Amino acid sequence: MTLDLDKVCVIIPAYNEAKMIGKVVEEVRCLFPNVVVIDDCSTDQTMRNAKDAGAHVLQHPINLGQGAALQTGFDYAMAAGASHIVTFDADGQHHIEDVPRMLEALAESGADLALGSRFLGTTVGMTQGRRRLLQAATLFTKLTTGLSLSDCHNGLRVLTAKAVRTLNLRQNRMAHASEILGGIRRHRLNFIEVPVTISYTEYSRQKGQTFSDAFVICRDLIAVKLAS
Amino acid sequence: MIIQLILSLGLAGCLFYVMSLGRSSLAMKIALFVTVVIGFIFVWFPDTTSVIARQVGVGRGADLVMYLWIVLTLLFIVRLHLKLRELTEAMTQLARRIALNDTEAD
Repeated sequence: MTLDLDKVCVIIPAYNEAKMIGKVVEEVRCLFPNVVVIDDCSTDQTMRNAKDAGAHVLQHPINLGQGAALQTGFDYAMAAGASHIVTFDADGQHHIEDVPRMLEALAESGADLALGSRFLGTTVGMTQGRRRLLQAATLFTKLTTGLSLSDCHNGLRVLTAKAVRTLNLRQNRMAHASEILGGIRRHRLNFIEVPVTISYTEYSRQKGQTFSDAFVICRDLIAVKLAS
Repeated sequence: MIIQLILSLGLAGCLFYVMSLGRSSLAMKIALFVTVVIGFIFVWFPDTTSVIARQVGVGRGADLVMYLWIVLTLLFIVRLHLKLRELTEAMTQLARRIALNDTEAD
C-alpha cells in the first residue's frame, strides 16, 4: 500500500480529558505524525497536555459539543490538504493499531469511509447494559436509515477527503453519529466495516453515553428535520 | 364591558406586533393575523365560543378557548426551540472560525 502518512490527519475531540489526552496523543503519534486535538473549551489542562504530547491543538472559545468539534477538525484537515481523516476518541478506548488495517481495507475496497466495529472485533470490559443500548441503537439505525451495520455508534472511523467534503455536520452534540450515517445514506457514500477493539475502562464508562442520551439524540434528529 | 376593553387593548397590541413583522415569513404573519381576528370575535361575541364548542364536541366555550390556548402555546415553544437552534448554528460557525483563525496565528 502506498499511502503518505503525512496526509493522514487524526482528529481527537476532547472535553475535560486532561487525565488521558496526553497518553492517547503519544500513542497515536507513534504511528501517525499529524494529530489534531480539538479542545472543546475544557476547564482543565486538556489543551496544555495535548500540546505537550505533540498534538496540534484547536480550541473552541465556547463549549459546543463533540459533533461540532469533529466538524472543526474536518475543516482544519481539509484546509491542510489531508487525504484521509481518522476520528479517534480522547478517552483511550480506541487502539491506534487498528487504524493501519482500516486504511488498508479502505484502499483495497475503494470505499469512501471505513467504520470501526466492536461487534465484528473484540471488546474488553463491556457491560450488559451497554451492549443492549448499542444493539437498540443498531436497530434504530436500520429503521431510520436502512443501513445494516453491526456497530453504529463507534467513534473510530477513517474518512477519505471526498467523504469529509460531502458530510457537513450540523448536529453539535451527540446526534452527530446518526447524522454521519444519514449522510452516508443520502449521498450514497460507500462504506466498509472493519473489526476493531474497544477497551472499556472505569474512566471511559464514566465519560460514556447513558440510556437517557438516546432521547436527546432522537429529539435533535427531529429538530434538524423540522428546521431544514 | 371593562374586560372586553382590556382584552381588546391587548389584542390591538398583538395586531401592531403582527404589522411590525415586516418582511418576515408571510405564512407566519397570516397565522398570527387570523389568531388575533378570532380573538376579537371571541371577545366581542363570547357566545360564538359556546356554539363552536358544542359543534366540535366540547362542553363549554371557555374550555374550548383554553384547549386552543394550550395548543398554540406548545406550537410556540417548538418554534422557539427551532429558532434557538438556528442561533446556535450561527454561533457554532462563529466559534469554529475563531478556533481555526487562532491556530493560523500560532
